[in-house]
Amino acid sequence: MGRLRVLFYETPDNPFYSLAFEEAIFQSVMRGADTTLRFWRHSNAVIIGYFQKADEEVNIEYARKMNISIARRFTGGGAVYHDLGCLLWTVATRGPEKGSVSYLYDHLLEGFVNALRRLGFTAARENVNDVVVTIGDKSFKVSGAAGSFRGGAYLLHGTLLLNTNLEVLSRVLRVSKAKLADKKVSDVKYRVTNLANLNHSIGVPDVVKAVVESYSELLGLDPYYDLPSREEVDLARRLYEAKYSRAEWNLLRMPHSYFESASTT
Amino acid sequence: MRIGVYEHKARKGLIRVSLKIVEGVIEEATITGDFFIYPEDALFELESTLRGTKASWAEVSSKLDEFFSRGVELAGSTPEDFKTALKKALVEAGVHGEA
Repeated sequence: MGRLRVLFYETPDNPFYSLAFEEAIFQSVMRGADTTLRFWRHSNAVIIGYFQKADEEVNIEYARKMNISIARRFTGGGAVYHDLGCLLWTVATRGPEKGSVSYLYDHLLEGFVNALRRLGFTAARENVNDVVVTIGDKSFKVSGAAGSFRGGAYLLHGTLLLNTNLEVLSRVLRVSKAKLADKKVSDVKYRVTNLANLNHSIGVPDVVKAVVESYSELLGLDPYYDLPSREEVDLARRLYEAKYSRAEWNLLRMPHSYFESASTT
Repeated sequence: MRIGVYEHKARKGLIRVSLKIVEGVIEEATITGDFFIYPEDALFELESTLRGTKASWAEVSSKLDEFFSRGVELAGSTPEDFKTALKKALVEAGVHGEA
């Protein structure tokens, strides 16, 4: 049986480095590293999607006042607030050579949904990349995911609200009028909740166990525990210095090509 | 110089178009939001294509059709969503007719 590498590798006070490491894993798996699962957190940060501009998505003054870092990731999707009550997870694996949105959001994301089911929740994917749990007749969004694929490799990363400060979350993220006015799409996105509110006894160890077992089963792989390779650490450092630490990346929304003269190899 | 900004809500994702039009030509075009497009950098190519294009729906629409015929993948939105956002941004910038 093939292997599922599990990493616990985080820099909670440096979300920029953390996101550089995500790209390093992606490239590493592209080059043949084992399927990798990562668990990580941020202390106090807003992470915006690849296509977003910080000043359109974040209440900058409030972020400044609360010392919330603003960092941009290489995957699309929306802006999210992270504190230590939010668990981040990443699965990176080789998949269909011809890139597939479906492999990301139908197949790989199902692995995370299954983990919540293992924890006893009625859980489902909704509207591409939202993960909701249903209690009675109410649904709550507890997780969102975003992913990318290139060169036969797929990376999907997402959140899980365990015990995040939802007040800070609602104040630091801007919600556009167009979204508020939209009645056609489910408003579950705005009913976010912490898993701790739904089940007080669930903590990080339970979630990690469920996610590892779930992906082990979904991908048919045997889990083992590891640390990043030297290559991954070196690559993350280079990506951080060249790109993820820079305002041109985080705030000015420059594409990868803008930074290409610096090293990504 | 005219500015047109329009936010269009797709099923998944908000598409926000900002256009700066100078003497009938799109000088700046940015498409921001929480949508998903693959490969990702195709989005920046689209912005690049729009820059220097005549600010008319006929021209812009034609560029969009060409762009979406090249095999980009979307998740939760359609080419129509992007066309709507561009069209309405042009309207916001005062470009009428040729609907």
